[in-house]
Amino acid sequence: MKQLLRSTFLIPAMLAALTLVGLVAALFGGGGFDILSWLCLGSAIAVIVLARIFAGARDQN
Amino acid sequence: MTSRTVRLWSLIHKWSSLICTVFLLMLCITGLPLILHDEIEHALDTSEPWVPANPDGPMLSLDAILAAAEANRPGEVPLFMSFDEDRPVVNVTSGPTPDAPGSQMYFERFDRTSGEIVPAPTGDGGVMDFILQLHTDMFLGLPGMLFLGLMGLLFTLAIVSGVVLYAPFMRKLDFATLRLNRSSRVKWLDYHNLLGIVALLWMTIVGLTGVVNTLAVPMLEIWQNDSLVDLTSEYGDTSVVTDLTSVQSAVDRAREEAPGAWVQFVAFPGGSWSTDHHLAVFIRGDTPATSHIVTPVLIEADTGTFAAMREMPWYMKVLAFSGPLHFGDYGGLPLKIIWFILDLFTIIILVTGLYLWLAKGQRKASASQDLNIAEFAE
Repeated sequence: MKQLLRSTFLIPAMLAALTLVGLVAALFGGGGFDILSWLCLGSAIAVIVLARIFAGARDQN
Repeated sequence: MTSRTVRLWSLIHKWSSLICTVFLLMLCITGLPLILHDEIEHALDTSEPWVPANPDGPMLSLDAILAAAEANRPGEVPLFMSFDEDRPVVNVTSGPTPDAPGSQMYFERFDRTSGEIVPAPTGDGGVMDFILQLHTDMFLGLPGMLFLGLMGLLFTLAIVSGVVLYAPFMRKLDFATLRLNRSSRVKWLDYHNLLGIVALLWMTIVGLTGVVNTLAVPMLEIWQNDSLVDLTSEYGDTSVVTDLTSVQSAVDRAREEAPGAWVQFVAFPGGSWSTDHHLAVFIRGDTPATSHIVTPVLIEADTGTFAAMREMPWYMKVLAFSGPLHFGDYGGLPLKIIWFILDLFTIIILVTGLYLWLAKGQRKASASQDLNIAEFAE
């Protein structure tokens, strides 16, 4: 995990790949594809929320 | 990366951003209500839910609908006929001339079971139309549209240069570092970088598909000249066919060519989606993967005989996918909400970018110039 956070472009590249899957999935189907799309694209939003929570918690200490 | 390279990229980032920021802010802010326009219009619509006049009755022929539309707008010519998916409603767009611009077009909905006009949704008093127009061309027509396309290209350049600069900024920092208890400049720089790198691909795709959408008018012209010109070259007469064959039989004929396909819309002769001599019946596939690609079946407008079925060239397919990928309307309400949040992120990126530039300008007056990476990357 530490290694992952240390690397400049590893997580951004993973998020970009997830975004791409999310954008395309909903184009090619409904139902399960839509849910896959929401999860993949939602990951970007989740990262921001998590970053804010962790940064806030660290500042408390 | 040498400090020289960094300085060059930061110059590119600064100027590409500065030029497009005010327009991108306008696009992002007007984009927020546009993402949810279906939901907003539905919520504001106070009229009774519409029901067909004869729910179990037979469907009128498209010729009868066209006659109703012509009686409703005497002297105008039909331009497009399109079909609602979820109710028996045919939409007819008409105008004073076959090549009338969008501003002169008139759109009306007709009950397929009775030929009566279906009331338009009420509610927003044209506010959404105003927002859409501002977002599309700032009320400046094609030049405005192309200008916004150029701003979209600058935005893409700002994103690319931003990613290049992200590397030196983050060299000594973990991913997703937010230094909240530092100066507001450092804090907002961290937010700017994190939001930017996380929303990177979404912003790029929505930006570039927006650029493609601004090119729809020239692309249609290229398509006509490129793909349809051989169909018209055999005609000595260059005037637009006005004595039309039955639209119903043209649509029936087109469906024979592609069984199972949906008819998306019919374009009448003389407009930008057809030739001067053909009715273009646009069909689309009935599977999710093929439903975004329309294929025109061209029917001789005077005789009703089949002329050709032309698969769209690659650039028209790109245009077809640029619609949903820009609007985010292809994956239910959750996808729209995600679009909305990522749009908000983009607004924060634009505003913090502007703030960082202004804050730097203030500092510059007192101390060093240029971007000091060492200071940020402690």
